[in-house]
Amino acid sequence: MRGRGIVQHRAHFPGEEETLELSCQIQSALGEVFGTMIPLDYSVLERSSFTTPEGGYNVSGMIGISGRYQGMLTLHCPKPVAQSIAMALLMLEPDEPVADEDTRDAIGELVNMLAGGFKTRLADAGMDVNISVPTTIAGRAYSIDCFQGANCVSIPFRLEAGCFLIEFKYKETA
Amino acid sequence: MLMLEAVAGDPLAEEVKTFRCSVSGIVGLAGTHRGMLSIHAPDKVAMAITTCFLGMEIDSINEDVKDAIGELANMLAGSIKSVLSENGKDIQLSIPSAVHGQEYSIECLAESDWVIVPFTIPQGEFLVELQLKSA
Repeated sequence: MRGRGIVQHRAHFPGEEETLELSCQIQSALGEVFGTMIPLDYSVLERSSFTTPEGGYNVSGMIGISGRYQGMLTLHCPKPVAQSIAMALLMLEPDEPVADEDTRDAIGELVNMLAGGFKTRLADAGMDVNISVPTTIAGRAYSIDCFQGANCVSIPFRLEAGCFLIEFKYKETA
Repeated sequence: MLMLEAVAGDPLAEEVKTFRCSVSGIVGLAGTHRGMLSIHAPDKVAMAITTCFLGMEIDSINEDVKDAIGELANMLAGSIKSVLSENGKDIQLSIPSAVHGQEYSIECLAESDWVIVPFTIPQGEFLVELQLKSA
């Protein structure tokens, strides 16, 4: 099965109900993207079981959200996971090499599609947001931070190739 | 606001996408215009900017530096927003983010028009990059 259910992550941030609702909407949006565009099985992890390899080359996709929520939606994964996603999105054969540029583009496109689905679900719930343009960050040693007072929804996932993390850091404007 | 004189140089002819030992503050623009405003500063320059911003000596890249560079990007994006649209509500900003690392590359994926302007302060140079999705 493509995506197994929706996991209720215990939120440690203000507005627990809201954080849980946003987590569900993001998981649902991701399920739609994988179901239609990325033929890979994945599962949602409990936060405590999430691990990423130390060091190595990582790829992150990032897109801005504005309107009812002012935030940044990001997806972080190690290179092998990014390559796996790119190969599925581009429908490459298992032995076909995938270029670094295509890998980064695929992660950027994934976060773009995820944001689109998230926006649609928020709109259905009466909350209008707009999205900016997708950006990718790649390298061996980098960190990405939002301002210290931001709320955070953080959801780990696992593919066969490894784990990836989706985070939505935001503040409310309404 | 920062009491720091920054001298603008000529816009760059080519994009700069790879940064070493730097901090990048990034803000998304959404609404009638979609894009991204970034400030890319080497660690030393980022610390100098933060020192001016906070009025206290900064000697390492910490959360204050990342918040400061992010906030600087936020303020710049706010100014650009009012240039792009007379009605301030037509363009909205995301929350700022800060990327920091020994080596990273940043690439905007949209088909976009871009401009990168270098600015010089006594401690060195930083770049301001604006990406706007083509109509």
